[in-house]
Amino acid sequence: MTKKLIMVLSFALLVGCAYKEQDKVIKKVESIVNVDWDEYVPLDDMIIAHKQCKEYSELDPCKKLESQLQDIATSLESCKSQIPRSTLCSAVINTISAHPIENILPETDAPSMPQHPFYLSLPTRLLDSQSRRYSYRKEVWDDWIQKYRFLFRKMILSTIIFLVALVWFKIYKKEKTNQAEMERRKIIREQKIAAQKMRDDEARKREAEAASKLIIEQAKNAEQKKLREIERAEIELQIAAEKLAAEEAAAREAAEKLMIEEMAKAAVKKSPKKK
Amino acid sequence: MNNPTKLPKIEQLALAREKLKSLGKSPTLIGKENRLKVFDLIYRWGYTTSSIAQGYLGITKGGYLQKLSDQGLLKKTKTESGKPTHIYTLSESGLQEAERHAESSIRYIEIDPYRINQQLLRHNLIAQELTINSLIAGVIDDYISERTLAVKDVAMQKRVDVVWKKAQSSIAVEVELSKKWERDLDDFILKIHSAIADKKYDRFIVFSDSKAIVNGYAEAMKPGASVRIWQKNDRGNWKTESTMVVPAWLIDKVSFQLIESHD
Repeated sequence: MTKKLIMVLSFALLVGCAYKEQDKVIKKVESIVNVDWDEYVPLDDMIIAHKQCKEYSELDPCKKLESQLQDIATSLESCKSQIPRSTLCSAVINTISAHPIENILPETDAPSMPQHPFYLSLPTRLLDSQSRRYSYRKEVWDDWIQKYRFLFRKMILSTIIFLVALVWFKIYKKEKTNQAEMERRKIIREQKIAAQKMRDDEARKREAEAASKLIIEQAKNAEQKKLREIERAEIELQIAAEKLAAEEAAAREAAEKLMIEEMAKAAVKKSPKKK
Repeated sequence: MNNPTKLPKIEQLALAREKLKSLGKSPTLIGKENRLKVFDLIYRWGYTTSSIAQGYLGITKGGYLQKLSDQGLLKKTKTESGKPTHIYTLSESGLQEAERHAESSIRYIEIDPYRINQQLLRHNLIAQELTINSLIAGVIDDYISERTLAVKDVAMQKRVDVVWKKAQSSIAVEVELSKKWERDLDDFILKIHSAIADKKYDRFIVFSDSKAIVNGYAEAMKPGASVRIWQKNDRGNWKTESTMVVPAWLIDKVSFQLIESHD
């Protein structure tokens, strides 16, 4: 029993000691992997932590450390494949290759480094963290500009020419528009003047027509008046003629009657003799 | 001037010769003309008397018609009334002669003198004498006797006793010896009105030997007088159908003349 107890106690002690040891490792590793690489990269500490994580590879901080080592390895390979080599990559290669950490780096692929300044981020955290220090973007920018300077010049020139042409075209178009507008206004003005002239002519024409109508009307009235007077005179003449005719007819009638009476008297002048 | 009949016979003969000479015609020609005139007169009137014929020919001496009757050219017939005593009609040969020279053909029923209506003798002879007097006086140019008018009789128009022609005028002559009354008078006036309105005649002269007839007709024809229009009904009786007011112009177209009655 006591042996068992001693064994149990010893086991517990060992386990307890083991757990205590694990906590230490965890804390140690965490302090290393949580370092901000923008400040510095703890290469040396990472080697130590790597050794310590050999036993505790399932722990999260160790996994994180492996990931960081992977990152460093990738950075190194990417920089090695960059031609020409940038200052950043030169620094990375020089630092890592000269450091014992190179020995514990895993094998990895080498994604290419961006050769233009318009990248969002570099392939690894290490390169990203160090890019500002070594002005990678600016360096790439300069290289890129240098590489495409003729094209850029042409583009700039073309752009300038284009802009100038555009401006000129805009101005020209505006000029044209203004001209067209002026022309249009001129035409409108002329049309208005012509319309006004036409209206004035129409008004004059109407006035002339009205005047001539008035003259014609007056002439017609005068003629009608004259005709009426002639008619009246004719009627009066007719009345006089009828009166005269009636008087003549009456006179003729009287004369005829007288003649008939004379005729009758002449007929009876020699009356039938008594037989 | 001296009356030729009171002169000595030798002077009468001289005057006659002078007259003949002035006419420029031979006695034979004058005789033929006179004969034809008599034939024409009798043809147009039906018959005549010696006095009318002599007046027409301008012969003062009587017996001319007797001579023609003796020659077989005329027929002398005694009248029933004795006034005139005789009338003269055409014989066959006289009729032939008359028809040869006539302007229009007239049916001469008087070839048989006994077909003459003796009741109308006085009336017709008065009309004849008035006509001859007017011709001799020169107040008319010609005439149309009733028997000539009969040829062209038109209904509803008065057939007048004779029509006198003077220039372009036609004067209808009526001899009224007995007064008309009632329907006869209305018809008389209506037919005178119709004849003048239709311009068949220009005027009318109504001769009468009665002042009463003349006055009566004048009164009936005065303007505004009413004249009845007669019509026979279904039973054949005369009835007044309507009336006509005498127009003012009618009395001016009708003259009335009184003739002396020599009965």
